[in-house]
Parts: sequence; structure tokens; C-alpha cells
Amino acid sequence: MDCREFNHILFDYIEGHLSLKQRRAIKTHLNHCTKCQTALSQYESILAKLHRLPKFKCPDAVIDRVFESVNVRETKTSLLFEIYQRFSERLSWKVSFAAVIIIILMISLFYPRKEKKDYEQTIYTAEEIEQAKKDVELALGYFHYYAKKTEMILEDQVFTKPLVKPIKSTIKKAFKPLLSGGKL
Amino acid sequence: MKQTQFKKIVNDYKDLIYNQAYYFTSHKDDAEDITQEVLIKLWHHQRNIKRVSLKTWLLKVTRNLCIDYSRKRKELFLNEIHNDTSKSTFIESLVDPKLNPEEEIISRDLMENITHVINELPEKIRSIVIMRDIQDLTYDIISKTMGLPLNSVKVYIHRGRKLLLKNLLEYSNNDFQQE
Repeated sequence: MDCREFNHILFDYIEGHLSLKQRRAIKTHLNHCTKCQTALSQYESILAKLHRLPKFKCPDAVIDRVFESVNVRETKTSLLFEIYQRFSERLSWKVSFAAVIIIILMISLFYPRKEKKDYEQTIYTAEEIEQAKKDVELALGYFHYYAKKTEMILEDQVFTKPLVKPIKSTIKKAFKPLLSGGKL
Repeated sequence: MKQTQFKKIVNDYKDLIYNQAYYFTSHKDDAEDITQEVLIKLWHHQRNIKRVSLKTWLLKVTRNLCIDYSRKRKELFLNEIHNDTSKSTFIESLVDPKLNPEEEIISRDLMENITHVINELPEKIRSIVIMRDIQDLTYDIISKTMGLPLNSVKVYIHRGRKLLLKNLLEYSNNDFQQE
């Protein structure tokens, strides 16, 4: 290696981009070339000085002026809102929505419920019980009448085809207890 | 952009912008104005910037403003006036306060020389040297900021370092201290 070659690859040598073989060749050359030794040490020295130049902090006054100019104000936000904002920036709206639903469900499931009060049992008279029995029979009667009418309509207008026979028999079976006055 | 997001970006990048401007212009006041302008531009152009290329965008805008400010100074011939105040403040800020008086004088002279020779570099090379050798930015970021291929960036860095060395030796009458 000569001085011209050395100058050509000096940059790559400093940056550590050379192979082991090339670095050995440079070291061999430097061992007997004081001119290149000086050039290398000066190069390394200027780099060291540049790297040592201080890195300054931007004055706070500059940032305050920026925020003032764009009307960004310091607002007190609750911790929960700040956490939500940080997470919502990263999560899609679907995930956020699902998370809200889950939180609502958890609250509704585990929120302590008030104990049910024991209702006071009301004592009914014999007349009231008799009257209630008659009201139920009347209601069942009406229901029987309308169920029969529905059966007739279904038989005449809906279940005319033989295919729906299984459905017809199923419905008849279902209505049977009602048609026979509530007796099973 | 939400306010909290903007504040976070400002806190993350303010020093990067400020140092870039500080070393390019060698004027503290200009550096502050440039930083302020870049961040205000960020707020107004937020929709046009992709999050992935935010750093590159900030460095590009900073660099362009630094060039504008430097050219304005030259046009207005304010260098001589500001050399007495703003620039001396700049030099003082580079000197390590822990040095003894003799070391401080040597350091101040050296720093003055370094900043002078940095300022004399061509604009393109100056930006690249500041980004690489002072701010330790990667070649990739520099390449994207300058809009140059990687190899060109390396060539400019090497050229810049050699120019710095040459000018520093001339400036300090070959008394350049080697480490």
C-alpha cells in the first residue's frame, strides 16, 4: 500500500468499513510512513473535537412561545383520560369500542347489588281468592276460543297441502293443553 | 394532531432542531427563531407529514431555514455587528466551565477556530458534517434529509472533514492540538 491508496481509503478506515486484511495493510503502511501517521492522527483529532462539541438544550422560552402561538394550552386532564388517550392512539376504534363494552359488562356484573327486600306477604280473603279463580277461568276461556279460531284458519287457509301435515300435527299437539282447558 | 401528541413530538425533537440551527448559524438568537418557526410549521402542516418521515421532515425544514437565515445575514451585512455579541456568546457556550483559566483560553481559541471553519464550509457540506459528526445521525437519515444517495453523503462527509482540518491548520497556524 502506498500513501495515495491510504488517503483513498482513510475515510472507510475511520468509519470501520474495511476488512481485516485491509486494516492490516494500513497498519503495515503506517508503521513506516510518518506522513500518513500524522494525517491519520490529525483526522482522528478533528473528529474527536467535533464529537465533543456540546449538545445544547433548547430554551424553554422558545417552546413556550411555540405553544402560545399555536394556542396549545396546559390543561389538567385526569389520569384516566391521559391513559385512555395514550392507548387510543395505538389501538383501532374497534378495539377501543370492544374494550368499553367489556368494561361496562364487568361493571354491571360485579357491581354490588342492593339486597332484595323480603316482600311482606299479603293475606287474601276467601272472596278475593274465589274472584281471582273466576277471572283466570274467564281468561282461559277467551284464550281457548281464539286458539280454536286460529286452528280453523290454519286448517282452511294455510295447511291445505299434504306437505305441511307434520307441522299441523305439531301445532295441534302444542295447542292441545290449551284447547282442553289448561289440563295436561 | 392532538395537543398531547404535538407536545410529545416537540419534546422529542426540540433539541435536535435547536442544535442543528445553532451550529449552522453560530447565532443563538437565529437558532431560537429557527426552532420556533420549524415547530410552528409542524403544527400547521401536520396533516401532510407521515409519522414515519417526521424526523427527516423536521431536519429538512430546519436546514432550509438555516440557509435562509444565513443568506439574509450576509445580505444585510450584519456579521460584523453580531460578531461582537451573539457570536461571542456562542463561543463562550462551547467552553467547558470546569477548565482552569489557561485551559479555558486554549479551549476558547480552539472552539472559535472550529466554529469559524464550520461556518466557512459550503452549505451542503456544513449541514452534513453537523448532522454526522456533531449530532451523530445515521447515514440513512442524512441521505433522506439531503435527498442524496448514501455514497454521495459519505463523499461529502469526507470532503468536509478534510476541509475542516485544512482550514483549522491554517487558522491556528499549524498549532492544531492533536489528541
